[in-house]
Amino acid sequence: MTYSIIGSGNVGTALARQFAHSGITVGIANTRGPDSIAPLAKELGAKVVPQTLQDALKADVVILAVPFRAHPTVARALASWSGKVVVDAMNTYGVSPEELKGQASTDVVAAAFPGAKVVKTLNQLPARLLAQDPSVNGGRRVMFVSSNDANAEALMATLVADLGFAPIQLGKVNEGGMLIGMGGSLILQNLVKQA
Amino acid sequence: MTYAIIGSGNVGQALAHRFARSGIAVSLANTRGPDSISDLAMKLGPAVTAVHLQDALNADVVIFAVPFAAHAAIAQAIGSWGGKTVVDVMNFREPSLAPLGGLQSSDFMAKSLPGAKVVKTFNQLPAALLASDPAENGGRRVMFVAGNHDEANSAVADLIASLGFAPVVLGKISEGGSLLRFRGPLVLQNLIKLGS
Repeated sequence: MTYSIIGSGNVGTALARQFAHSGITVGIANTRGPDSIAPLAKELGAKVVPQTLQDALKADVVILAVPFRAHPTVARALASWSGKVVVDAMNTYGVSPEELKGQASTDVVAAAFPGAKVVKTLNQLPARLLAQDPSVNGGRRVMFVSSNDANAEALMATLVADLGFAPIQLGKVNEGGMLIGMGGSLILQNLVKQA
Repeated sequence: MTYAIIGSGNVGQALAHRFARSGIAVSLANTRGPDSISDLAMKLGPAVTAVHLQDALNADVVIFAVPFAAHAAIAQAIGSWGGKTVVDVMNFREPSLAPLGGLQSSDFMAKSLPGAKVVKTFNQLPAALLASDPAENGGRRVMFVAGNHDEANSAVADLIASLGFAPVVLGKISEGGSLLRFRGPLVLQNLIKLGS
């Protein structure tokens, strides 16, 4: 399984830090090219590999850590998304419900990535918390996971666990997934699951 | 606001213990009568009063901590549930909701309590954890809340906070509340909410 993070802002950087700490290789790309990420990769070590956007999109699992409105540009950069897992780590700050046509934002993302199995996770903590050690007081920080594809959801729950978090699977996007959508009750909760 | 717990098993006792520790007055009743729980009430201290079922049902907030199958009989014990808040602590321990016509168990029980505002909570932790101090490692143990009446959800969330837990309101029973179903994703999770 190969992973890449698209986006090198606060969230992308926080995620890259967790991959590095967990010793899991990950590509990272942005629209400005790999040179712009070289200093970050140097800081985080060999597990974090700066890539061109095109190379990053070859990964089995592509993690979207870009502003919500940038996702269609990423989607168009690859001819086919079939078989890939796309992780929606985005939030819809400043995006109106009208712009989403009343849909869950993850469903809007899924429509832009035909063939991909879209999983919503890694979106629900502020970047500062996302970057912190998920091991707290003998427990693990909770990370909720939701998808309409049960296999992809389980796969990403495993990744989230490998990154040190305690995954909790909420099921489908229009069911439990609504709770980790914008304004949902499981957003911005610093929860630690006790052993 | 007056509170009553119906049921003196592990869960009812765990809840009574938390009320006692928080100094919030609560009545405790079961179908066997107050004599069967007077020792327990004595042990828990002055906040907990053993009463008859009929007296317990006079409370503003009635907490059902009985086996699911027992709720219908209690529902029939008073003429009107209008204006009351009923807290559903029960779990419907079947893999399928088909026997409930596909409804979540809280929505099913609400049908036998016309006029009551049903809130599901306290159902999601094992009794031993429910009874233990919710303050842990500088945070508070999470208690999820769901119900179809926003005001009742908020009132019960306030009670939960007064009992020392960190309430997280999930919305309606058929929406977030379904995550609190038997073996649902938010059941049996020992979560501590820390400051952010």
